[in-house]
Amino acid sequence: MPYNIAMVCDFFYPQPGGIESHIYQLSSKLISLGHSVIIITHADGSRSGVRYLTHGLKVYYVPFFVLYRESTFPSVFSFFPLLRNILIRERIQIVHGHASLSSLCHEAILHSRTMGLKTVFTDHSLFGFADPGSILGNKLLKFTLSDIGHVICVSHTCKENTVLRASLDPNMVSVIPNAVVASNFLPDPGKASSSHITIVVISRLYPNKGADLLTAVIPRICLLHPTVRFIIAGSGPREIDLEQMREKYQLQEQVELMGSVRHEDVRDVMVKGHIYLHPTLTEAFGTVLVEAASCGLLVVTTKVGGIPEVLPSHMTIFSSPSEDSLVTSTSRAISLIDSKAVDTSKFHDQVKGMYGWHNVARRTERVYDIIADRKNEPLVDRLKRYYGCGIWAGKLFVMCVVLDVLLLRFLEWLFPAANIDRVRKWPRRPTDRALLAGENDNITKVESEDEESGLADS
Amino acid sequence: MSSVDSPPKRTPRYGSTPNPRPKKSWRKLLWVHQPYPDNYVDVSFLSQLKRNMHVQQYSFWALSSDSTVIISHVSTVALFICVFVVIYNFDWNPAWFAFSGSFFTLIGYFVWDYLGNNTTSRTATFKSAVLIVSTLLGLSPVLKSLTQSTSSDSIWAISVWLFLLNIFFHDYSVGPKKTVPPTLSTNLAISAAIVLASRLSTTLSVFSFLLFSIELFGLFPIFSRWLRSYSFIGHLFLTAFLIIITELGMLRIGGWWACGIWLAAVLSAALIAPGWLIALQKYKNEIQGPWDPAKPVLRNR
Repeated sequence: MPYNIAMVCDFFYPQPGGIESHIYQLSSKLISLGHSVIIITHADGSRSGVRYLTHGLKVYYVPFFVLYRESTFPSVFSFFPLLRNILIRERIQIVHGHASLSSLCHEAILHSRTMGLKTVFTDHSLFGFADPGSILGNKLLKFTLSDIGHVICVSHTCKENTVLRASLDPNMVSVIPNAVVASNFLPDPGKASSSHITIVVISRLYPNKGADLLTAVIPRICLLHPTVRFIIAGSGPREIDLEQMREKYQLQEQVELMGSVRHEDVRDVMVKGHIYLHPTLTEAFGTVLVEAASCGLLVVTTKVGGIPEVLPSHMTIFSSPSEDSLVTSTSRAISLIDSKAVDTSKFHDQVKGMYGWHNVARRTERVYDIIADRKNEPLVDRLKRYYGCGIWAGKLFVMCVVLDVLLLRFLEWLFPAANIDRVRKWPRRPTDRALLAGENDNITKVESEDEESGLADS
Repeated sequence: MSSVDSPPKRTPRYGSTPNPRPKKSWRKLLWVHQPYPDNYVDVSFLSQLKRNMHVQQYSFWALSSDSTVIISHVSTVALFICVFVVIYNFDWNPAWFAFSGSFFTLIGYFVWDYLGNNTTSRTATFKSAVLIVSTLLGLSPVLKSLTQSTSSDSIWAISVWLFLLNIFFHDYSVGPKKTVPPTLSTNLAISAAIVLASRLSTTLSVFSFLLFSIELFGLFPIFSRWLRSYSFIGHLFLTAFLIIITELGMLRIGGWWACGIWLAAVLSAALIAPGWLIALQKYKNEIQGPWDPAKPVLRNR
């Protein structure tokens, strides 16, 4: 049964990023499966209003004040009138929010539950429990997820983290990984130098991405292996440290700093290398690792967060997040490539079978199937869930929800739903689903096994 | 699969499992497509969760002896307030405090100097001491009139806040590492002294009072900090001495009641508060797991 789905997130194109492309790819695959999908995000400068992307993917750019790093100002209620209008206009049944740092997503989930719609939340990142920012963020996450239909996490580690942060029943949390468009990350062995080994690093140069480790490791590797070249793409506060390191050890010949590259150019940088080095300190999934493996690079990475789950052991060399271990692992990778002991040419096809957006969309669809038939519980039961969030927070949350219900009554009186225009659906070729199902048959055999295993209803 | 044989009728065939499709055990991996639902919860779920990894186990006497550092500083502040009250309310001569303060400062200096911690020459120290004292003497009339126009109520309120901030920002560390800039707490205490000095009647009493305050808040903390790293027994004796002096001061300004309350406060800081902290440790619940940002191990260069 096709659904009308609204994806809500602060992070969407035209800003670049992993969550942005996740939402876009998932939405377009869901459209291919016959669903109607809209995306609700905040206005970006003059880009405000309704825009259409391919296949009739409609994006609502809602005019809102951007507070910090593309997150909107958390105003709790001010978004409700506009959101209600959009949801009624588009006949939305399922609201799917993304990213725990997006206040737009949290507000949308709260209001949609008040309106009796089904909700799904996807968590893309890991958070700690100790620092004040995380404590506050986790409390808010607990608030919005108290009454969520289902939660999706991008890795098993991410699931454990989210279950703890929001005190959820683990059965209502599904793990559906990210994917890559394998055809955008084709290997090209001719591009890489045959005379020397090139190590590629593509990362934002922040302390939590391991930029300090990178700065410490490069001179030692260059000393051990004088023929090795580094290509480092990315910018950030630690860029200056890398430049100073290059000056200090006179490595201009061996280390190339490219600055930030656009996502569509990442593949062209990757194919120049033999080894991909990823010194990060925290990572929920690590899409870039899959992209690197898809381009036929041997991956050297720190074993943190969800990274150990992402790639099979013959594609990766794991290291602990220490300088010595990273040097040892990289040296091992260099000798493996040198002696041609590892065949990277098959990586692309293997990765193609592991991660695909079509698979992600089908698994997400299964989540929608679970929650779509669920009966909405009475308001008192909803309030009980919010009340359990904490001694003080519980009471505050209950007040917010009650106010939200009253606001909905007021909006129904002020702008009756009957007066809101309903949109016409985007014309669709009826064969889309059949076509895709046919295309998909030849991808892998493992996927068909996956098809049989239904998602157990929680 | 379709046959619904009851278990007794079934004959085991060559040790095959009764389950028609044996499931492979679940693995915590994303790259294999496993025959398990996406919301499957394995028994290994949260097995990497660790609790209270970095929790320190406190011992009562260690905490109690550490609390003497705080008691010592709070006693210094209380002593200073007592001195001000006896000068202001009971007309004691401030010069007396300046003399005794200077006497103890000299003893402290010689002990410090004798045990070989002196890096600056004695002449230089003497010169700067003369400079400070004469500057203070010259400035006393100005400092006296600085906040004279402010009402006494405001002065009491300001000085209480300044002393509280001084106690809050004081450097209580034992080791050589300094976490808080020590000048901040010194400045706060000296400001409090200057504010209080405007209530005194003569320029000479202002000078004596400020000299005493510089000795108590500027020099004494340096000595006390050095002493507790040099000899902790010495520090305990110094603390006991301070407590006794403060108790006498309390007795003078407030009678037995003030004396008793102060003693109770000191004892609760030394004995009850550490016990309470240890009792509260059972509520500690730190969670650590693979989702925490890793701590990079870098070689020191």
